[in-house]
Amino acid sequence: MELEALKAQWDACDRRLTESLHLNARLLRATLEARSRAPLRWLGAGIVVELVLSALLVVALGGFVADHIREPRFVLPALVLDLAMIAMLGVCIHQLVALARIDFGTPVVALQRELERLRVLRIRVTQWTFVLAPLLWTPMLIVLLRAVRVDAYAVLPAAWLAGNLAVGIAAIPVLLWVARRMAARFQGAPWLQGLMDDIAGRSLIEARSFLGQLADLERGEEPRGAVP
Amino acid sequence: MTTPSDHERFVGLLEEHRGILYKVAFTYCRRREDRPDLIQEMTVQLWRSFDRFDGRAKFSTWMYRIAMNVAISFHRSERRRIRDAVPIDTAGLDLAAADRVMDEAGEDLRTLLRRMEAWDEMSRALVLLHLEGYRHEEIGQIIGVSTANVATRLHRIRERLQRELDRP
Repeated sequence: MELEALKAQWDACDRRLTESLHLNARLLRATLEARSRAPLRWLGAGIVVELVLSALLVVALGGFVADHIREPRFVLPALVLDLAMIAMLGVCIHQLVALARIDFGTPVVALQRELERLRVLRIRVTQWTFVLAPLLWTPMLIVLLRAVRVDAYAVLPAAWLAGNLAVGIAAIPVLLWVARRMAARFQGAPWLQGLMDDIAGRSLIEARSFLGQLADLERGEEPRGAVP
Repeated sequence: MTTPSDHERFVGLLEEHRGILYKVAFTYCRRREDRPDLIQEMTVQLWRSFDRFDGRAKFSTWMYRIAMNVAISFHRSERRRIRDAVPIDTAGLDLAAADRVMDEAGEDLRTLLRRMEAWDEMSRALVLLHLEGYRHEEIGQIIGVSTANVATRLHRIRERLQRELDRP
């Protein structure tokens, strides 16, 4: 089988395809109006939601810090949370700018590289969110209780707070282990499986491999891991 | 900003090159039931990008870039995607008739298309554009690599294909 010889078969197929495909103008117009079906629609919407939530939390935590500026035991946990939210806000803005620059008319290798870099950033955000969440739980509890006028330091024993922090640290490797072990069990739920792969680092390996393939193709080298 | 006349021009161009939508969807999406979804995404993205089409390149070249970019992204996210629960239309294309044409294609062509299912996204793009009769230079413009790289990669694909088929 020669690739050149297949061109004739492909041409014959192509002619029949063109004859068999009929465009329904009414359905096409309905499709063009369905902007919700555009690629990356969910990604953009998800980032906007994250941005709004982060911005609201930054403002709320900023207010909390201002109200308790003379009480370092409350200011410190609130500042930790505020810094995490400011970082999240920055990442969201960065992603939205990158998304706005995406032009599907760009040559394939260049656009796929941009999309994959964006994906790497998303995976990193997911990983950091899940790694930091158990650590941020204790400061969050202190701030939330204070917001309803309860002093966590007074009502909760110091050992309890320290224990929570220790459990948070111990939870990180456990979470990673669970993610590695459980991803395969969620085949019926691609979203959950993807999340587990993101946390466990499998998605990152796959994304880097694809970026490597694109770089190899640009350099004219045999793409690693590609078939053929 | 697109105008009503742009709309008519777009529909006319899409009608003329409608086969590209199906061929790209066929190359990157083996599950028939998912092709309407992909074709719809390609069509919407083509329309959204149409105001940036300046006519310097042929419409078919520009269309291939967008269709392939959408299809590769779709293909890569396919296993992570939660499928739509409701059936969707096919952007105005009757795909059943086109599926029958592909089912009746020559044995060698069907063998190649089956083998391509295991290939990486870029190799599929190169072979599809090569079968479509694009010159190496034009393929390079669509994919975004040099003409020499296109020639080298296609040569390797030919060799590999030959080796695989010669194997008893």
